[in-house]
Amino acid sequence: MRMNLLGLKLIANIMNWSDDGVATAEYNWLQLMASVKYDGYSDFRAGSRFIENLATWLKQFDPSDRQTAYDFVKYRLVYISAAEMQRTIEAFFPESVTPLFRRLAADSVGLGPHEIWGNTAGREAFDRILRRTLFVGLSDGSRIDILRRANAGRISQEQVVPMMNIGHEKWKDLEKKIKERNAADVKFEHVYLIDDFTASGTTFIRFKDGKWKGKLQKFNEMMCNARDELKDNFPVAEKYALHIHHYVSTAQARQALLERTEQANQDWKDRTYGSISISEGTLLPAGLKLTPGKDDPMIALCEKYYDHGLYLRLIEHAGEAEQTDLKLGYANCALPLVLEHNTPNNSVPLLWAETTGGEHGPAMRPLFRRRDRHG
Amino acid sequence: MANPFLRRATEFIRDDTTFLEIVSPAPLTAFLTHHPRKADLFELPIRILGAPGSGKTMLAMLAEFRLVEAILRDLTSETNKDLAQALAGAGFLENGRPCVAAVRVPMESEYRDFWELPYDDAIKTKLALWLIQARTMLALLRGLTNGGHRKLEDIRFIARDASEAQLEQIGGLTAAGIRDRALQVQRAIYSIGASLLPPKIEDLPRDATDPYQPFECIQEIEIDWMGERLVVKPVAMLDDVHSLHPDQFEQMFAALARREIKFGRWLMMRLDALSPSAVFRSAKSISTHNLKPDRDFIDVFMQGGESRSKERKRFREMAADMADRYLPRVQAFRNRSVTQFRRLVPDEPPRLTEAKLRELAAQVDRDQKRFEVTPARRGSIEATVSAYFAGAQSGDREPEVGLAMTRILMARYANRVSSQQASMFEEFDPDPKTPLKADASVAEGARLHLNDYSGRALHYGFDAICDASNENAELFLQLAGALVARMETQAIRGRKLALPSSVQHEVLRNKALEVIDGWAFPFARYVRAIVDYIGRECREVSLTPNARLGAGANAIGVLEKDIGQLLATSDELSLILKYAVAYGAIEVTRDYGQGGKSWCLIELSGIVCLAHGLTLRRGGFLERDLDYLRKIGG
Repeated sequence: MRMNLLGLKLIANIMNWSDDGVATAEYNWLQLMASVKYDGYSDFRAGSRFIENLATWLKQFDPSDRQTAYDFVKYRLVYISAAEMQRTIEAFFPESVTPLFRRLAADSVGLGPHEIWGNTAGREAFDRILRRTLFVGLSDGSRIDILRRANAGRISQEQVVPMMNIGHEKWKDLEKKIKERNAADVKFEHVYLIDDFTASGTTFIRFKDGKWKGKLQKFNEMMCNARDELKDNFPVAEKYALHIHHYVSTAQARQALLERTEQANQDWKDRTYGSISISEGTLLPAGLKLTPGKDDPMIALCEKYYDHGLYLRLIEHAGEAEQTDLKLGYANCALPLVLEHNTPNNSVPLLWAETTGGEHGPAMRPLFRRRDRHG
Repeated sequence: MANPFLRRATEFIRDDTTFLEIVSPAPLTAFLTHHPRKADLFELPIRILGAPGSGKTMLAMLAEFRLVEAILRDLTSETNKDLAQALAGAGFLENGRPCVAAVRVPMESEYRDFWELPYDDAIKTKLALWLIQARTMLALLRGLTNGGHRKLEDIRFIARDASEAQLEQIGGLTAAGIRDRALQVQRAIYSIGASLLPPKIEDLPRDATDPYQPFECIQEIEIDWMGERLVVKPVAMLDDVHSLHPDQFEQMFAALARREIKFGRWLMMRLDALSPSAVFRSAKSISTHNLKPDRDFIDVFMQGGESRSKERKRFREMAADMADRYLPRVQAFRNRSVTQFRRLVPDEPPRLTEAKLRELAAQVDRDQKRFEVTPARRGSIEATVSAYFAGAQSGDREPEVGLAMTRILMARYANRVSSQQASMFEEFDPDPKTPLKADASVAEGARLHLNDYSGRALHYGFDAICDASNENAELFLQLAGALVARMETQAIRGRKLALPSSVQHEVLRNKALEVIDGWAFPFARYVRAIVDYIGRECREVSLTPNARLGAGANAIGVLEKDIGQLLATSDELSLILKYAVAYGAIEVTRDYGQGGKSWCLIELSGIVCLAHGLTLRRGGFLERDLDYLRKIGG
């Protein structure tokens, strides 16, 4: 707590809160938000949590720019905490899977979706569809452990695969287990690909240099190889229904995924799936991103305090999104977003970038340091 | 929440030890120990009435047997010793051992739903009443066996005389039998209330319809207490009874008020559940069942029940105790050894700067000319003020107060001699017919004038915070919490914690505005309009140069006969006023005699006085009528 008091004192000096009434109101807000949300950021170091990081972060700006930066944190920042992410994962099954499968079950037995639970044939159809569904995590962020616990008794352990790279032995095992659970089930007819977050859709699917790239393309390729190798023992049906689910997605990403998967449907001759659907737990609205006209002061800060060295460090990855700088984040998403386990690179780099500065621009200090796998 | 003063309600504190650390025994002493009918508190039905936040639940939780036992089993701590003393004073202990086994039964859950069932009122009332009794018995047994200090076999119930017929219905007199029967009744009645469709009357389960009246049957309980047998009186404390439907409450109350019941019955409730007439304390009996207060039941008002000065004094003690218990829990103060909240809100008066003081003196000189007061007369007025200062109790005797008092007295002098004929040949300086007097009310009026003149702080100091809280513990904690937040800022900035009067005034005023803005009770919009209008008018009248109402006004008076007629009707205005009282926007003083007339004073609550810069001293009012209230509320 002593450290925290020092941090608050420092912020008041940095922000020049000479009025005690203003300082009291801001201290209340800062302490509340730090304790409820921001102190939970997983990359803060011991003894230096939100309040202390905010003080050092604000200090990098000229005094005249600090209020803009503070207001951005206070009014525009969206932080998804561990508890909120957990709720989104827990909502996946009841709010995304159940309505879809209820509708499919209703179609298969000629009932209305609302009649499914009151009808034996309807319930059996629902259970059958669910048993024949495979859930695949696309990254650590898919938090398959939480998903499993939240759906104990609904989804079997044997229909969940935590990572996308499924070896042949695992496929054989899945084939054996699906039949063991119910002799009538031979193949998985639905496959859910699950990930935590998408901002631009680029990582998931993109067309670059005349080639399709991304996780979907890799998944399809892996499915092709496994099917060719395992032949009849491959436990996924021909033209299975593929469902893409992100716990959190942006409007921009949703649109991009719809357009690019539609294009891929036409282009891919070796497409293993028959249909594809896109869903998300929380859809962040289009108005979330910083936009000229509405967020000019903050956009100006993003330009003024930008170190192009960041782009040069991340050029290989940034180049995939066909951009020439990283002032507004990867794919120019300009998001004011932080997830409790990491800050997306699509968020404005002022939030997450850490550079030493030099010939390409000033040193950048992060508020929520990003653990970057791209360099 | 970092600031413990801003915690909303005691029932959210789950841990008994934490609760005991912060709970103040003062409500027990304040409302029960000195109650004139203390001897009957466990015999007759007791209605404990108070606005939200007045400490009803805290009182009930503290009196529960579970906590009483926890306190008595560890008397090594000073906190527990204080609590035990207060419990003894309120009649819960005898010779250091418990003589009452009380349980709190929250009424917020599904009891209200029973009133929506499609049965006769009598059946609906019985269902809810039996469910309450079943749950009380279960809670009682839980409380008595809590902590593993005794087993069910160590508990024996004692029936009242001539209740043999009822023994079987309640499962006998053994704890196990009573528990099993209570569980049966609870299960059966709960299934009726919780079912999607209510069962037909003839399909009601037998366990729900068979007679079940443990309150009528049980008189005492014999328990094992540290190796010896002890007889205790059972008490059911039904908390938040106002959640019931008004008709349901009335029927339930009539049933609980039956004289043969020996089981203690406390009903903790807000004033909402009462009629406007009862809220205005004009009812001598409730409308049905011929029940009379003091004869058939006892009301314990958690505010407004006795003389105001006594009540204020009592509340100040309680508030100080509460605040001092909360203080060590403020993280920012931990290394500062702060033990007394009162010291952090000193009542050291504000001081005008030299320049402002000179400006004020010049203004008073100009007013002297305007009022045509001779230097000799001014000299005599100043001597009157000095004499008052010399003997005054108040700490605010700053030069500016003296100047403002002089100005008021000069205005009064001018008024009093205005009808006298001036002489053409000598200096006109007659003595007024009524001599000028400098007293505490003029001094208070002067402070209010200074507040208007230069923004000089008006409300500060511990007593002002208490008085502004209208004897409402939660409101006090909210005001104190805002001040504590500002003190935290002082701590963060490395300054001394005690807040100067100007800062206290500013923080209290802002908090008062925030509280009023947050009112969301029934008719809150009308109530806000009424108190704002009255507040503005009172401020205007208080600032007249001669301060004709002394300390100023903070109330209006309506003739008793008019209010009496209004309360007898179902006029919406009476409902508006009822909710205004129930939620602490106004206070009411009945039968206030002045000018040969009897008035009903509608006084603005402390929080409104803070927001509008009015005195907290009572008595100054503007004469108005019901049409005025209708107009400003509409």
